[in-house]
Amino acid sequence: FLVGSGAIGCERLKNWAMMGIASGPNGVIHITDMDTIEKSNLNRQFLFRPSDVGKLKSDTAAAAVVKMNPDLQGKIVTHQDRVGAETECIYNDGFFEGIDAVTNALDNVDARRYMDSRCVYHRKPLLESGTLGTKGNTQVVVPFLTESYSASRDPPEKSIPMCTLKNFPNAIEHTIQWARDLFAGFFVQPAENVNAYLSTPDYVNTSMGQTNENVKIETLTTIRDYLVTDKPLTFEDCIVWARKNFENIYNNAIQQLLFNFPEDSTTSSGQLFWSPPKRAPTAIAFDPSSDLHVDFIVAAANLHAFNYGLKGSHDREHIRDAATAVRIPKFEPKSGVKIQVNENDNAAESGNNGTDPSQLEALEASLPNPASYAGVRLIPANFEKDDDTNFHIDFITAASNLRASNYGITAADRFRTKQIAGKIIPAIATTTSLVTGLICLELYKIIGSGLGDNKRKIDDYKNGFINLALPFFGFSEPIEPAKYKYNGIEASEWDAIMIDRDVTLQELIDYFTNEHKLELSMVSSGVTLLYSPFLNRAKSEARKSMKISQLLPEVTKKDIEPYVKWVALSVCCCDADDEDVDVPDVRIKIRN
Amino acid sequence: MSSENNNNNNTATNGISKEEVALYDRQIRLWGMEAQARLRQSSIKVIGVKALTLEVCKNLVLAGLGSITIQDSTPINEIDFETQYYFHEADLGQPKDVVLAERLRILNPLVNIQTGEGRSEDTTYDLVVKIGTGIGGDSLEVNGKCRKRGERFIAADSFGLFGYIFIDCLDAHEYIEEEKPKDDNAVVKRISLTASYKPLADSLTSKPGVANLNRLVRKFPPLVFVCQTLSTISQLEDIKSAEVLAEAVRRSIEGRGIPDGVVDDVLFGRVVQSLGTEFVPCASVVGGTLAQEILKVITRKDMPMNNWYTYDAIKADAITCQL
Repeated sequence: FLVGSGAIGCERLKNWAMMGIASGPNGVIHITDMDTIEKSNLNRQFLFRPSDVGKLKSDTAAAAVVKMNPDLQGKIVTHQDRVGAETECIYNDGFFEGIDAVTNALDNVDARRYMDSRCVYHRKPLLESGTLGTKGNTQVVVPFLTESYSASRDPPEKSIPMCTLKNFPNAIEHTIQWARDLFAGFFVQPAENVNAYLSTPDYVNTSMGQTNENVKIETLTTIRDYLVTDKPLTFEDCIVWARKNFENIYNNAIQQLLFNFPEDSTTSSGQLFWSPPKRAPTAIAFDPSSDLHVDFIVAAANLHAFNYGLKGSHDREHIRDAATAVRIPKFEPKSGVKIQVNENDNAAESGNNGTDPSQLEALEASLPNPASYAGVRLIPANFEKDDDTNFHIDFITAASNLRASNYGITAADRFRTKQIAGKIIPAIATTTSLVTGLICLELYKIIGSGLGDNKRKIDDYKNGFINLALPFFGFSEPIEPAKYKYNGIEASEWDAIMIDRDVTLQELIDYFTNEHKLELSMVSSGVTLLYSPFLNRAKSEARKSMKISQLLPEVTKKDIEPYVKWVALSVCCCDADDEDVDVPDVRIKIRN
Repeated sequence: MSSENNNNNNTATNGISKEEVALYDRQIRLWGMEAQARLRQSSIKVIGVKALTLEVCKNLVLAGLGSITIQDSTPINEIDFETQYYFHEADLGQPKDVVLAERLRILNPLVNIQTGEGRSEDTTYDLVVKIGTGIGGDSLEVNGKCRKRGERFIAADSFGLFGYIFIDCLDAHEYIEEEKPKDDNAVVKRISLTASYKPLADSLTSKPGVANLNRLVRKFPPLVFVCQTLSTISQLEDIKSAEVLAEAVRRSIEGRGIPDGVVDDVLFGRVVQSLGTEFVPCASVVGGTLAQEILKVITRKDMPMNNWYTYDAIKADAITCQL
């Protein structure tokens, strides 16, 4: 099963074609990738041609590789699924029973962890690899022999503190992230909220029932503004909207900030408030002769128009003139506005202290009846960094650089902004093909891994770490899984207690008592508690006599999907001394 | 990475078109516009077509090299289909270089791909790469000619589960190293450096200067001495057995202060078994490494390996050393 058909996927398939993987009569290769081919893929996803741009990756790759080894004709099954909980119906027990190994060719950690958990569950070998420019790594996961991929974690990425983002940026990365968030706050969330309001019956109570008052007020205010008060009817209105927001963000908000914290203000310890790393900002007045200022208006107006399905415009001169003509009321900073300075302070920016139920009611009342807007929908922008005509990167670049000029930070050009905002990872064909070569060599070891005396030892396998820039090539043996004991039996994350018939809860309890001298105290399936010490006697007794295949639907109120053959249960046990004992998951076979 | 371009208009800086920037976007973000422009201007010659050649050429063509001349008129035979994935049934009997050139052109039409001996005697290549044994004479001769014409030279091979690369960038190879700035807002510092490389002839007679066997093998993998010998052979058929190979290696390490038992019989046996065979995964590993080194040579960015690399897939050893 090849998960992903991009750079690593293409190289993998080519190698498999030459190795003869799955070319025999019963061979099969499953490939899944939900993406279509883009121009920027072509510098390393070599099975794709310029004429393939727009086509599905999995199909195109499969076709290209059949040409290399015609024995693969009819042996490759292509899918367009994203692997995850939603596709577990497709990649179910039956699917995994029919494959020998999984190789990842993914571009994100979450999907890798997910596939790893599936492979651990189904006891299938997993070959994992990744590249980052000239750096690459490979990892072999063999059931019962090595630890799983998820057993070790990279340290989490440093995230930018909220206050830095909101009010105290000091590097271009901060303003770019801020601009990215602004993009969502202007062109994505409001449209989504409006659409939800218009399409969900009794929106206020159902969708928003759980959220706190302040958030409710903010969301409803946005909906009201976007749907009624500030709704643009023409592109000209969008220009006005953009100009007004320019004023709010780059002039007014800065003035307010400086009002609260003047340049020479000091902290309680006597130091200057605006000392490094904080940078004191200056407000910006709209200047039609500045390309940067006009860039912002052009991008913002067009994106706003996009939300409403209005036709945009590239006429810079006209937009510039229209923006200059907008009347802007003079701004006076207000006192009593709270601005959060440290991460741990109470946040309360909009001067909205305490919840006032009547305010919420008034807001609700001011919203129009969704029925009167039947068929009306806004179009949220779907952030797409590689389309140069959609204004997304243009907006983020302008917004970020304007903020940078507020704070005296060196601007970044469009190229660099796109890389940071789009989290682009530079990629080349050399690292990719090398890493894939290493993985395929490991695949030989897995396939050739005999049983008994011929069985491969852990040090036969090699994990690789390379950096072609230095160059550096490092190899190490995989690590054994962490082990624990229960009732004298050694177990690891790979082990499970397999019960091959549909037993009753009582039989399960007895099994633990008799076989392992352990008392079963809790049984759960996923997030559903099936049996616990807190259950009342009557329920407890009733459940004990039920078979697992009946008990599960009874408690979850949902039938077990027809493709599920084994039910996995997590159990808690304690021994004769009432000490908790770790035991492996239990698997109950309910269907053949 | 610092960005080295400031605009993305149609005929952008360095003469790279907007089309190309879009195509090479992900790698330009790695090595910059200047390196990409250098790549475009470069021309290299590759002698000998086998799986390793396919891997290297694929990687270089994807990267947007200016021009590649491939020389190997051997007719394609059945066995080539097993590992040289650009050749299909219909190509049987056709000259390898012509067919490969055709397939590579489809991969990236922007690269100029030629075949045969190449242009006239007057043209100089930025780099000549000799792959495998048997095509184009022996490496010593080719390296010698390159040196006379001021051409950089690489000899490489991937056979069975082994591989090697030898690099000669002439006596004074200038290159740039970038220093990562501590402060994200500062400009990246570019340092200009020079490195000196030996011709193959000198490398084959060099003295490692380590008498103690244990210390020697820690610095120099025994495989490198075998590969040195292999690089001088012009016909694979000359190595008929492990004993013949052992004798050839013994002759080549004579007089260099290298202890006799540096290469054991097990290794000789494994190497002879691998000669004349190919494994695509091994070719991918060596090919990726080789292509990256070639990119370094051409873009003058970072120091190319000086001067031997050997790969042993069974032991998972990829080691560089200087001889």
